[in-house]
Amino acid sequence: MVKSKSLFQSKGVRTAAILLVAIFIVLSGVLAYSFARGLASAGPLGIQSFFPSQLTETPTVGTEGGIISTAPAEDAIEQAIPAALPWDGAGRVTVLLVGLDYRDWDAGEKYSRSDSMMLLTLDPLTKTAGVLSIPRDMWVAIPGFEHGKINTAYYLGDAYKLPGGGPGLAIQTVEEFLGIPINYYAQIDFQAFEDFIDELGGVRVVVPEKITIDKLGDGAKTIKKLRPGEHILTGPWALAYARARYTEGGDFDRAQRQQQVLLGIREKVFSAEMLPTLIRKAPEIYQELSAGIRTNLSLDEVIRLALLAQQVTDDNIQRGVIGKEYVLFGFSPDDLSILVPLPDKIQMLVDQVFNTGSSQGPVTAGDLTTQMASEAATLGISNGSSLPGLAGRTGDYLRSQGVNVAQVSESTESTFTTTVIDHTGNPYLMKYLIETLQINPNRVYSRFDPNSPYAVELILGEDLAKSGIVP
Amino acid sequence: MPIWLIVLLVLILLAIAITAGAIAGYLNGSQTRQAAISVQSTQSLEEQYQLGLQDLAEGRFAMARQRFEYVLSHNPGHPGAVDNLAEAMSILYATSTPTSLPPTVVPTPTFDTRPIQDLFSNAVSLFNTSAWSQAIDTIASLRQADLSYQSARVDGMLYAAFRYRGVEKILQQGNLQGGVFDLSLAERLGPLDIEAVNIRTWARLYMIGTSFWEVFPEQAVYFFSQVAAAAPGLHDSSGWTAMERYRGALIQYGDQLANDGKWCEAVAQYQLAMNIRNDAALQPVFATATVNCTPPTAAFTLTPTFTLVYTTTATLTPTGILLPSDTPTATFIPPVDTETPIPPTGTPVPPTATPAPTDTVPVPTP
Repeated sequence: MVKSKSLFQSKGVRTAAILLVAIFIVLSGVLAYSFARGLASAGPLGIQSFFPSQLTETPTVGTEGGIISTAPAEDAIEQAIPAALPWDGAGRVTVLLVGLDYRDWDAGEKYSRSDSMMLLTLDPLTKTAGVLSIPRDMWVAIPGFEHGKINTAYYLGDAYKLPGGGPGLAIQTVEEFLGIPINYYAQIDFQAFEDFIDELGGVRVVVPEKITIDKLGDGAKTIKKLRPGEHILTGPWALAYARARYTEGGDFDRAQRQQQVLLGIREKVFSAEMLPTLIRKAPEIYQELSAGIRTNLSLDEVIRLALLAQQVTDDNIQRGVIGKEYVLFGFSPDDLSILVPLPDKIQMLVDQVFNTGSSQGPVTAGDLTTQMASEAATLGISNGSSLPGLAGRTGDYLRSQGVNVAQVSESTESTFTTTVIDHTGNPYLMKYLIETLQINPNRVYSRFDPNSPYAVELILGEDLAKSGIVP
Repeated sequence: MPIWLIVLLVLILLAIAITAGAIAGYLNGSQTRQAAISVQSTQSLEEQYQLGLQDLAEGRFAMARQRFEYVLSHNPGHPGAVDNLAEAMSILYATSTPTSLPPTVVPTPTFDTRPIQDLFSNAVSLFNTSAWSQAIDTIASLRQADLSYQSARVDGMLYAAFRYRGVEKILQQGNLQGGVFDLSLAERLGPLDIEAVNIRTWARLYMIGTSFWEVFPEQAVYFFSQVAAAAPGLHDSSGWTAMERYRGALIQYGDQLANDGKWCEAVAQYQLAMNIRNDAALQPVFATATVNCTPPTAAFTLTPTFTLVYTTTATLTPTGILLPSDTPTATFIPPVDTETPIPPTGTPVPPTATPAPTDTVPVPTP
């Protein structure tokens, strides 16, 4: 202590000490500056790493329209990110899951076709969900291009550097094909998929029939035969199971297996012991997998969706595969095997997956008379028949049934067929009138007019006068 | 000065230096990041604009339109993009009626936490101004807050909003499948009116015809002939009208027949196509088919000069076809020769109306 004191009493030492302290302080400031600058300029969660720059070349188009060569172009990361269709958290949310073609990936192709497409949909209000698989060979209109197999949309979007890239065009193509608005997409590569399954400790699948699966890589140990029954598959084997297509049903069976794996993941993720751990580790896992994921979902949205999905019970998940009963088999002009969609049948499947238990359905309780009474829509009746007093009698009859008849009048024009016109959206009164008065469906009209004196207008015709329906 | 005071002073200075450095660094970093994002965004937009110009010059109008719309959505004041978009659209829709509208900017909805009454009033006012999509979104928020609030009226608004949005999607946006989907949602709530039913039927027929496009041309002709008769201006999102699809399907079918050596039937298809709209590309094909259909007398000999490079395949498996329940039933019947076929003496000209396939991936359409 004494020595120290004496040291500081020396002018030279004191100056040196002050200088050292000053340098230390300045260096600390500079370090803090550099660190903060680095953090601030990096962006949230290293977002750029989710969207690796794949668009480094633009194919040039030959005179025949085919892709004949590629010419280097500048990198453009931002255009590869399709803007998410805004989701407010209240309405239905739909995500397109895309798996890429291993052959393109293995060959190191710059742009890849998609190998599998699955739509996941979730209705937060009714806690219902749906999964729909789309086969890769589906023959569809690709916006901006000629008809093609649906798996080429992803390739074309990237190769032609479209705004939104491959995911953007894939989303657009599926939206136009099925008529479903898609909010998000997620494409996960093979390694990231395997890593994720391993992070979960494997997934459980119930194998319905004997199957040989072949995991990525070479050698005899890449093949495994699965017997019917329950299996816990690690990442590489789960991927092999999801990719296997050499069964009788080919791609259609494969779609079923992919859904099995997806539901296996769901089961594991939402198990009581796993979910809290996963949520706690979510940023870390997300960052680890980020190089193998291409998505417009933020981490926050992933967690929100996961928590929502947790509330959906197995019974409330509709599963669908656009299988062989929904297509015709054919060949494209360039002689490729294709699946020609049957739009009406597919529409029914889409309705089943996306509308069962939807919050966009009717909510009003009771039978039709009760629903109609709850609606309390005003009805104006005019008599276009030659039978005097028909409007009055019809009005009295409908009033007795609970209809809110606002006015009854004689029409200046005569009509043969009874007509009903909805002005403001009144499904229950419309349905009630159609059923009760047996109105011809060809005489049911919608004419939107929020200022109309009546919500619904009924013009009585000769057919009603002769029918004897009105007492 | 006591040593503790010196240490305290040093610590204070250190803290000030670190804080000041961190703040300055953060601000500078943020500015750098913003500048980088801005530069990147500008570069990306400019690149899209240039690619759009290239598409425009090379006749890929649909793709050009998409790029110009993207540029304008990020930079509405971009010099030139509006004119280029107008040019692309005017070419795209030169034969389309009605034309589709440029996409509107969709406002980003946020979860609405206003009182339920406000939500309901907002939904009603959006509904009354025919803002269907926004009304539907607001109703979703309302139902999230209280499912049973004014349920009958809310059901009614949803019913009408889906009905009118569905019809708009089909007739104005060319989003046929999206429109049909909306109409099916409306139908879950109440009966559809006859106009909506008819529009949905046309859209369904159009979509079925589109499924057969380039693959089963005879079927495509059948379905598009019906839509073209009922709603010639109905169009899809690519800008094709039903009438143009019908014409294209006739040419494809004619090509297929010509390829099979059924020249006279091919002539009939080409003739129908030319009745809709004639063009220079179709005339030589038609002329060749006509010559082969009615070959010259023995005094005149044709010298083969052409090689057939176009091939088309139409294998229908299984043979059944799904049809809308309310449309006439059609079956796949192979065309029957009504005249005795005469073997062509010359090798046919490749049908130039349809380019020979060159790759396994589709090419951009104009």
